[in-house]
Amino acid sequence: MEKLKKDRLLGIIVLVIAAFFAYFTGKLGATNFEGDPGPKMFPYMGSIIMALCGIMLLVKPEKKEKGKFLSRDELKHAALLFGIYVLFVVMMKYLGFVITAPIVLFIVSFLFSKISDPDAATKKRIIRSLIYSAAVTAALYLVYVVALDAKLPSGALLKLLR
Amino acid sequence: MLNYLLQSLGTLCSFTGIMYILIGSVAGLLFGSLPGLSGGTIMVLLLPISYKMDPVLAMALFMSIHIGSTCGGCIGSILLGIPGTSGSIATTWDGYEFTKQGDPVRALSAAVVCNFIGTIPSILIAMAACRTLANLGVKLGPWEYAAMCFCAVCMVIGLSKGNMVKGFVGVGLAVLIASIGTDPINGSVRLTFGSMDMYSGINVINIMLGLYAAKLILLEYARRSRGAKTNIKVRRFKWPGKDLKDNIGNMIRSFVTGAFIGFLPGLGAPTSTVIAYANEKSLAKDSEKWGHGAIGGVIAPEICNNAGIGGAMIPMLALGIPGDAIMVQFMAVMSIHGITSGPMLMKTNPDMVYMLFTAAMVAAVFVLLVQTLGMPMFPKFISFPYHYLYPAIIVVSFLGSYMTAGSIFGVIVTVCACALGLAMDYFDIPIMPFIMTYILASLFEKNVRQAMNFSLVGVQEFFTRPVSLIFIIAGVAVLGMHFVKPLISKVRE
Repeated sequence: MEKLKKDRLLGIIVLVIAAFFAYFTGKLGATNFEGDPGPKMFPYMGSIIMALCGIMLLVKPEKKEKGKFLSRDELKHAALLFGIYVLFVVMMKYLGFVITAPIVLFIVSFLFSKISDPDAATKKRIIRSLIYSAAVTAALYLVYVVALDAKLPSGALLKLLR
Repeated sequence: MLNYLLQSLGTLCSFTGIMYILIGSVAGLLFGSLPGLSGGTIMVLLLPISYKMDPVLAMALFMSIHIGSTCGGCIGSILLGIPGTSGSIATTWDGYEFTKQGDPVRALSAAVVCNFIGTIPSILIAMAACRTLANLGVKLGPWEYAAMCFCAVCMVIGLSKGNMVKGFVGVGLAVLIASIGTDPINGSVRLTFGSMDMYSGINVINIMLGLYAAKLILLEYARRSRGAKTNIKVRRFKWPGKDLKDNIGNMIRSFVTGAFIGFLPGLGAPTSTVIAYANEKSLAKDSEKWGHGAIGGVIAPEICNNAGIGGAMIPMLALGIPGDAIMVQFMAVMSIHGITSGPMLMKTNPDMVYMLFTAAMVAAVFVLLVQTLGMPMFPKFISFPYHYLYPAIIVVSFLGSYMTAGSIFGVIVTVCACALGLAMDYFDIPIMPFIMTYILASLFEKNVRQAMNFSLVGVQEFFTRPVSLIFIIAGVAVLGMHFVKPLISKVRE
């Protein structure tokens, strides 16, 4: 039964996306080239495919049942790591690579070590994660900034403070 | 041809060349052997920094990772019963039985040699076929190219398992996202919603980093993946002469299966290896032993898995149509260096094409050496602690996103792509049709519109040109099979 609801929900989402893109595609200008279907053709094509799929999913959802994608606990863990991803983006923007990378590396390493090395004492795991995050940040800095001459974000906030 | 091969070999024989191949092969082996990861992951991570590399050597590095990863998949399958890559699933069925019986070396030795035997002829075939196909490819017009793109996407949807409507949802979504940015014919800006960052479109590398790397780590954490710990001791490599001699027919048939299926977009090693396994099991004299430790059950999938390497390269190099997700990454590396794969590639950048072939063969030799000499180290390969590997992958993938876009926008796209990937997994929308359509979208739109511009009779010309018509019929037929197949089995019942 869950699958049935899931497919219908997907059908609605797909229809909304199709309508959204179709609306904005309609606002595009036409082409000056003779014979050219113009820039509207491709997004309209995508919208039509999506709309047809949405209708199919609403009218004829799959009836086969399937196991849950993620359990409640797994969902919580997924949300936690996704939150760290978002945190990474925000921190990179305002604090730059040198501050963000070791913090994120430490948090993620510590979280994963809880799973892959559950027998180790918390203090030991913290120390290992600290050393690891410092070493990896230094290695990444050497590879990206020194060897590849890449410009990594220095952080909008730090720039202001300077 | 020989000229370019020798030139590529000369480049690879330099210190830098050898290091690229060695590092690529070992990294590929390591990532390929680790369940959950694959060579594709490390390739995605390296995509953004490949622009700093020499393009020819970058291709060599990526190819050696690909070869290493394809060969390394069997290590996890045989030692843990967990396939390192999706192409090694069938190896698990018999390979792990050998480990349980205390003789992993026999299965590993046979697999290692079969990997090599499968790779070399497949590359030689690809080399011959690419030239012929590219010569034909230059004669094709936009009608044929548009029809070919249509056919490739239909094949990915039609031949892969799962709900076809959801495959089309992936296609539609890819078409819409690919529409963002500048239109490829008259350069008008569309669907950017006022954002300057979106003027040049959404980079496929940012999307792949989110869909493959960031999502993978997130799911591994959510599912509390512990990584593998094993106490198995593996002795030195033993030449599997008798096993190979007893399975010559098996090897030839599995090779043909792998090479042919590898050529078709969408199916790839997971399907071909299972088909080869099932086929050989039905032909085997000792079929009752299969699944309980038959060496033929290791040889068939491993030969087949590697035979697909050359097969998948043919459409990508000769026509610009990727056979699988890995070939999409090769196309991405080329595009970073301003090179477009397709029939003209053999004429404009023959050095790059032949470097791919040479690197594949040299990497196959390196991988064989590393695997035969380093076999006792295999248990260490698969016990690499995840809490050291995954955090670095996350940070490297986000740094790569930043470098690709040149701004934080790239990282935002990657995080959004990760969320999109999760949503797609939740709703069972296959990722392959999405990514395949995304990479072909610009080529498809450009050719459809050019065809319409050139044509005097409009859409009709797609159906009056024979090659274009064949591709359209093939695409429709593959999709039609989805509906016909259940009807046939119903009638049979």
